[in-house]
Amino acid sequence: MNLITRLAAALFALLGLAASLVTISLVTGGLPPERLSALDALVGRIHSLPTLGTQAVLGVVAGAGVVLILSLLILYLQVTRRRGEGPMYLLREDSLGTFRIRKDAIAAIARHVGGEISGVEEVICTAAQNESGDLVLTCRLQLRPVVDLVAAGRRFQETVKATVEEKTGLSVAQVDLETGYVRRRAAREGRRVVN
Amino acid sequence: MSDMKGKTFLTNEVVNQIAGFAARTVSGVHRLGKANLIDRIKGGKAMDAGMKAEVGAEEVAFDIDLIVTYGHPVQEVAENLRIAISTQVKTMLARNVVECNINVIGVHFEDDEEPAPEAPAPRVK
Repeated sequence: MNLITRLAAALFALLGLAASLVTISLVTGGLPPERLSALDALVGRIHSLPTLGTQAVLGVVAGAGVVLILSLLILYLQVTRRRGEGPMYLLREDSLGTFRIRKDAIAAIARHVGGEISGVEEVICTAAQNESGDLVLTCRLQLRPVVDLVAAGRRFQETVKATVEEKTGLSVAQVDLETGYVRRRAAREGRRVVN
Repeated sequence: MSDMKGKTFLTNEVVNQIAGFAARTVSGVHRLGKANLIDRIKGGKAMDAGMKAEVGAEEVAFDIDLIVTYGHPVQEVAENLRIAISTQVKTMLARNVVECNINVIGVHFEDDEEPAPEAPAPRVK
C-alpha cells in the first residue's frame, strides 16, 4: 500500500471516528444540537435525533459504536508498520535483480538460534548495519540462574554469528549482548536445570 | 492452412499464478507474500500472493516477497526460486525474465506450525 492510499485510509478513518463520536454525543444529549448550527445544511436531520424513542437511540448508538470501532481499527492498521515494509538489507545484486532480506527476518533467525542454546530462557534481538555495511546484532538475554553468564554469552555470540552468516550470507561484525538472569523461575526450576 | 489473425493477451494475474506455482516447487520456500485475512478465511494460499509481475511483449520482470523455511540458506533459496520462475515462464509463456527482485520478508520455523491432528483410528482390523 503506498503512502497516498494509506493517508486516504487514515483520513477516512478519522472522519468515521469524528462522525460516530458526534452521533453518539448528539443522541445521548452530550452535545446540544445548537452547537452544530454552522453545519445545518449538512446535518439538519440530526436535530431530530434527541426526540427518538429509547430503542431507536440505542440502535443509533450501537451503529455509531460499530463505526467507531471500525474507524479505530482502520486507523491502527494504517499507523502501524506492516510486514514487508521494514528496512531491507541487500544480500546480492546482479544483472537479473536484487536479493534483499528484512531486518526482522535476520533478527528472527538470531532469536531462534539463540533460544536453542543451553541455559538461554528468553531472547530478544534487533539487527542493524554499521558504516561498512556489516551486520550488528543486539540481543537481550534472560538466562537460567545456574548458568555461567560469561560462558553462555560467549556461546551465544559464536553460535548466532555463525548461523546468521551461514543462512543469510551477510557478514556479522558484532553480536552485542545485554544479559540477565530469570528471577521468577529461579526458585521453581532453576535447581533442576543441568547445563 | 488457416489464415486467421488475432492477438493473445496475457494478464499480470496469469503470469503471477504461473510464477507462484513454480515457486511452490522450490525447496525452502514456505510461502510468497504475507497471509492476508482472505487467505486465512479460505484456509489456503493464493497462488499469486506476494508476486508483482510486469509483463511485456517479450519480457517479464518480477518483484517477489518471500518467506523462507528456516534451515535453508536464504540466498540459495532465492537463486533457486529465480531459476524455477525463469524456466517456467520461458516454457509456458515464451518470455524472458529480465529482472527478478526477491525480498525475504520473513522466516518460517517449523515448530511455529500447529501440530497435525491425530489420524482417526482405523475402522477395520
